[in-house]
Amino acid sequence: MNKWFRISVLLILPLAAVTVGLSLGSEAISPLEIFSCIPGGECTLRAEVLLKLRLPRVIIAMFAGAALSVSGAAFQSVFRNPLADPFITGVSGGAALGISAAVIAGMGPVAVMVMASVGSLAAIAMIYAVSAIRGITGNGLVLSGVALSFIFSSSVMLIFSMARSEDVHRIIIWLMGDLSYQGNIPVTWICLSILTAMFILFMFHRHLDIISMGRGFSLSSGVSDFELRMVILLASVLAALAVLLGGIIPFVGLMVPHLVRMVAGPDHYRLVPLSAVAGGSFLVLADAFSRSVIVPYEIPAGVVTGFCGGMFFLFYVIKNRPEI
Amino acid sequence: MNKSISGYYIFIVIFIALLFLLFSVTGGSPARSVSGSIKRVVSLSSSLTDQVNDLGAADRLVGITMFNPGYRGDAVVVGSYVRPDIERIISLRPDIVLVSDEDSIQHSGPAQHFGLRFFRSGRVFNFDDICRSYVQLAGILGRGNYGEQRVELYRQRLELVKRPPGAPRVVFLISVKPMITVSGNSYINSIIESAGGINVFKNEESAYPILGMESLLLADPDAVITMLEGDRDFLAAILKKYSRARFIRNNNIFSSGDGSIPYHAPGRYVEAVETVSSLLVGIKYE
Amino acid sequence: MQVLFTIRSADAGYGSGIVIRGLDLDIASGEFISLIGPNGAGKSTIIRLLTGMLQPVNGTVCFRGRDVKSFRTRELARNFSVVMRITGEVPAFTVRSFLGFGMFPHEGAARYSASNRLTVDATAERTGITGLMERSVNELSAGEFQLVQVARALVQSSGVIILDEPVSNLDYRHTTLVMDLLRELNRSGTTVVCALHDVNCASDYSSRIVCIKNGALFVSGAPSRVVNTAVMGELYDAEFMSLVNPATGSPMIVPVSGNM
Repeated sequence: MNKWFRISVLLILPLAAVTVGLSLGSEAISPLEIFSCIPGGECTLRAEVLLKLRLPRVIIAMFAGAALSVSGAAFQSVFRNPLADPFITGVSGGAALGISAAVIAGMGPVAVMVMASVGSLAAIAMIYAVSAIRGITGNGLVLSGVALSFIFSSSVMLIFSMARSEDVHRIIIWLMGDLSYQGNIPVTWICLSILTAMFILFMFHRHLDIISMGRGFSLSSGVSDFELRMVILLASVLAALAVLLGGIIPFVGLMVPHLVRMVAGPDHYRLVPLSAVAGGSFLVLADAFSRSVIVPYEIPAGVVTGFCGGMFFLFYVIKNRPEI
Repeated sequence: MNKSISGYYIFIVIFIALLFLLFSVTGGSPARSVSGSIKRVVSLSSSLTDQVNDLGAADRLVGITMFNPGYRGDAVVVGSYVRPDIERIISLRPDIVLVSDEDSIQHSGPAQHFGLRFFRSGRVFNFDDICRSYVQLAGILGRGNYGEQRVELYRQRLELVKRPPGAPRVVFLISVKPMITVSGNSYINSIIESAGGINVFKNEESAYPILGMESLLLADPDAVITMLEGDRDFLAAILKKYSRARFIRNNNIFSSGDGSIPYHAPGRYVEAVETVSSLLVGIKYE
Repeated sequence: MQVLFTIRSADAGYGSGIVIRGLDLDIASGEFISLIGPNGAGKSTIIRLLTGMLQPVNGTVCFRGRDVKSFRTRELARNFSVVMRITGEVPAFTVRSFLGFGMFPHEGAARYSASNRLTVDATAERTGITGLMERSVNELSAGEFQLVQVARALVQSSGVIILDEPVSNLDYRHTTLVMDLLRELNRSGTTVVCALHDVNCASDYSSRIVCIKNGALFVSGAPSRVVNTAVMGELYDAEFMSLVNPATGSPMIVPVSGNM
């Protein structure tokens, strides 16, 4: 992949996705209408919808998709497992538990999001503790993440069985993925954190290359266990931030890194930025689709990514069948 | 692999740009003050839609949710029960958006950011609460006097259909699968009491507690009222064998229908009391 | 000759139990040491002790006089490199990128520099793998990959290379290629520590053979003193005949079957 091709993908893909995302919705609006809002002009209603409703949502989708993809790419390398996804350390389960507890306790929308963060942080802390006590060898961490997820989802089911139907409904809608901007989370700060975490992981690209060869190889090549844990922590934090932004959106973090690896190779210098841009653009497009296909109903973002992801995987598995 | 800044750093630049853009567009706008009368109403609550209809202001509705008994008009459906379509709402340019803590789920957030004005009706527990909210709404629509007149009318009707308190012990089931009943924290409890019944589960904390079959049978009510007819038949069929339970032996399982009870509006309340008391008036109980 | 590694009275093991008991071992600079012994004797454990991947429960492991524990991971990596079996799927890095990993402990997170590229190319030439440079590591044969591994180890540290059973699954040709390369490196001054399965291979190439039995040092010495029926018979609890390898002149043993 030569330099100009790379640069054009990095630039054009997200711009195209943002344009499509702005245009689609309950009705198609040309993004050019935004320019009616330049000072001195009369801002039309459609332009206001574009600017204040769709634009934040598109940007949020871009950041959430990027965070999920980079997190997934990192976990796939760290755990050397092509089925790893951003939620492998139980972050989504923790957030779901936090949200469920908050909703049935009748907390307000801001408090609910705070509880979601608390839940994610609890999951991250537990995984970190496990890695400190037990070491990072073999499948230990993955299994711990699975165990945590089971514990969390059982707790959520427990809460469901005791809650009012509307609360259950509310929680499930969030669980399926919801990218609408509701003013109850400090999106700018969250996106800034996502950017920072992605940047640090990008700076760690050589570490990630070596880590993807295995723990023994990493240690003997000079990547310490501490650095390995930092990578796991960063990837978990990215997943938690993405969940805060848009609920639990499956398959983006699983599928996009695979695709990028197939096209650009395993070098993290390429993998991280391309995953970020591809993942963000994909989620923007998926969200645009979900908002516009059966108006006025809105398909949850997770449903669209789930379908795409499922089909992608079937195709991938069939394509890569071993030669007998 | 040279050390120069290759194209990949561009991705950082792109995200920084997006971040700035986000920062600049996510300030909320102040609520636009509405001068003059309210002409365009979006209602995110079926009950409030019903109240608007009852106040004779149905022609002002431009956006409604699904399930609106008695309303015939051109208003556009603005989304599902759970998720209103904000874009739709905004494009309708409403003067006010009506939401209710009883039966709207997601509301204020995005609407607030667009500077939309809205009327929020809080939780209601009895007829007085419902009337108070109704009169408030009437006032906002500029039909305050009319609203008060209608309330007076409904009160009188209510006195006629009310029955003396404290007779049959009743369990009211909103649904059978899952089995959900009502407690004292729901206005439906007040309907039951106005109709002369005692709500067996009045003292539960949650407004709509989920019941197990055991709890229902051991409570041994005099009558069970389900909201939906299909539920009534279903319940009667599966409980046939529990002949020790009084309400089964005496065949006191009824259905109230869902035309009035789910809607917290004064008129519907009175209708509901009429329906329930007519069900309870003839029952045998030991 | 400078002493590089010193193990004193070390006990070590994994969660399930102690594998190494009371081990004393010295390794001096410039040696070509082979560790041999039956399966489960503790050869890989000793490799892990030397490289700092495993901490002893008792005793000490020192490198250049300092306890291995006290080194930072990157410092250790700058001083010696390790070639171990890589399990699982290997990502599709090019051989060139893979060799570049060896520069990590010296350069850290910085992107590859021009001098780095020179080192990588020079090492590839020296180890004879220039033809493989643009291939993906997951497409190489086992033998080709081991050569690449040794080359990477050389990029990382030309002073000390530690290997854990580098040729156990290779064909004759690649076994010879790899071991010849190691001998050539050793002659240029690289210290080689190698756990081996094949005693005769050890005999052909090592300056000293260290025999491990049941987690303790059994015998240690030059091949001529160690590779004979008495020592090997007791080490492996089997019967052997010994002879001189007609091609290389080193002592050689062959197992005698049917008499166990």
